Amino acid sequence: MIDRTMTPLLEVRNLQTHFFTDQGIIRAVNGISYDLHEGETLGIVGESGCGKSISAFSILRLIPNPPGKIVNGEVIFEGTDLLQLSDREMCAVRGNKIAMIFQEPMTSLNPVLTIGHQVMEPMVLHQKIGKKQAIQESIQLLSKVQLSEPEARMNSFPHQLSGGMRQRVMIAMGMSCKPKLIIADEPTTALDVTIQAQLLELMKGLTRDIGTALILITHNLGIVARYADRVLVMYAGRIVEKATAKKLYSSPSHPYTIGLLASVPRLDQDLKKSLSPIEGQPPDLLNLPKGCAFHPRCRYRIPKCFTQSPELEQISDNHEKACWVDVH
Amino acid sequence: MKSFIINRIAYALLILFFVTILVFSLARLLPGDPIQAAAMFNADLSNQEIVSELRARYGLDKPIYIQYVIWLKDFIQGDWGTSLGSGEDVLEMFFRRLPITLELFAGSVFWSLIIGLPLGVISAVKRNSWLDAILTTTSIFGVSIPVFWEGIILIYLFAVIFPILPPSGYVPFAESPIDNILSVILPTFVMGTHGAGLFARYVRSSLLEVLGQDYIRTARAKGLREKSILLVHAAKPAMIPVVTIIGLAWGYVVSGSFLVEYMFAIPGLGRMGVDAVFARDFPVIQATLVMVTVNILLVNLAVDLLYGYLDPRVRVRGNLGQ
Repeated sequence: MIDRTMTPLLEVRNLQTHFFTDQGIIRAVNGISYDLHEGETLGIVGESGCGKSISAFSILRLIPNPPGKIVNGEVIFEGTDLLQLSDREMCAVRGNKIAMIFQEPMTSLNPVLTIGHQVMEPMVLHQKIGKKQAIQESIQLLSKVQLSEPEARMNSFPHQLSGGMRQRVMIAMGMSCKPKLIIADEPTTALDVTIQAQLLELMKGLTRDIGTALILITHNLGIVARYADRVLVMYAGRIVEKATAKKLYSSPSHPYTIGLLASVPRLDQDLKKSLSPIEGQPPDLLNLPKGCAFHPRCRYRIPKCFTQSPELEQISDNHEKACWVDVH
Repeated sequence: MKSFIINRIAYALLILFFVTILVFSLARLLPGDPIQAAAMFNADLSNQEIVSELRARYGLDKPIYIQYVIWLKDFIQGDWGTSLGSGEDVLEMFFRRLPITLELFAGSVFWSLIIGLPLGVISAVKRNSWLDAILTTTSIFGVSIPVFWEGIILIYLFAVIFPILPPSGYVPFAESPIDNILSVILPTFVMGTHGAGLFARYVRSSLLEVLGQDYIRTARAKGLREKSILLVHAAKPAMIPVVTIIGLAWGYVVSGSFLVEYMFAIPGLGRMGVDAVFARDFPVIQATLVMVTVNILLVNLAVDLLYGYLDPRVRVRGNLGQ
């Protein structure tokens, strides 16, 4: 079990990542804070453009600069603030202590390098092992991610593999240095449903085996319900609700979370009952509404929502929300 | 891959066949004929009888398609005829000048790469900085500067003001390797300037495109430093368009070098070809044009094969260039 009394593996404090464009400043991540403990799985959910991916890229400082910049905050990992490290020190963390699995398996592997080369790269770089040993370990890794004929695949090029196989390679790459934390950015979005389930089970199993914490970024609430211990719900660059997965589903408290859950089909409900989508459009990040960013789409709004932005407040154990209204 | 190569070669031969027809007819379409041209410089040739006898001797009185078949057969057998101007064997003439032009080309590509490649890489890595702006301006200057102007300026600088290089002339490598190198520095640099600017522009844009790809982000997330990302992950894919440019430059080697060959008095193929056109020296014109075509076809084939090496996806599809 996860021990919450220990110092967290990762503490994100008031993280702000902005993009400076010709049209104006986009506050993609606008002051978010959370903790992550060793071996824990944290889900980050939200619509496209809510800042969930950018918040994760910010941890590894993979924001393209310019136009992006982490303007404020702390990312304390194993006691050191990653935002204060030199580029060289940061390179020693990436792929070694913290690995990343990306959304697009079709484009995230280098088309001109063999699978073997790409899987070995982090080990050779960070663990300084010889090439022979690296080849052996890579073959083992590839068979661990259940890639068929791992020896032969070492010499394959990405275009010779299907999307699901490529994502298995990405997972193997992420695992290769037995990192403390893996950030998976919509790892299964581009794949079909059966493969999604297989890969998520695989990732869950592998992270459990080596005690790796996992940040799972997704817009699929079903995935979060099944695989995450705790969940952050993000809207317009802020966290609007923070809870254990169980609580989030049993008693969602933010109108946005309630809306999200109501718009997902569920097997335990009457199929004739129609889904209720959240009205309106995701907010324009260049031109956020005053007050609570969600108020134009909110069914429960009160006059205060138009003028003042709510902060996260604890409503029960392990449950926080940022909303002026008590919705139940 | 094998059938791909055979396919490409068959295709090249077909093109070559049509080019020989075109080359042969084009030369015949020019007003005047070689005997007439020669007559302008030689009083003996004002006699009509001698003129028609000479026409018969060179086969110029036969129907044009017969002339073509005879010419093609001879050409394939290595009999490229004799120059109507100097009386030299054309095959010999050609192969004596070929190494000179090759040296000029190799030298110009050397300058282009050694200047253009770093400029392009620095521009891409430091994109949108003041350094990028300066380098971009420099490379556009390199592309636009006229060869004859640059040649004159450089001759003035390095042969007149600081007399360290010969102003013109060519010394064969076998005669004196050092003088040979010295004699080609200025002409190859002048030829390479344009290419350097071009390379810089292409390398910059192609590298920028590659650096924006998802797999470069993956490489960063693995903890690779910028240098290894450039050398291991970005270099090969970014080289693909650059190889195309080298191939294209190679295609223009003969036509592109004649100005420089004139300016620096170098007896290369470009000069031979242009002189031949003015003198209506048909055998030389034809040989030059056919060999230029052969050259372009060979280079295209080489570029296709190089694509296969650089991009494994091409190896499997095997239908590049279509």
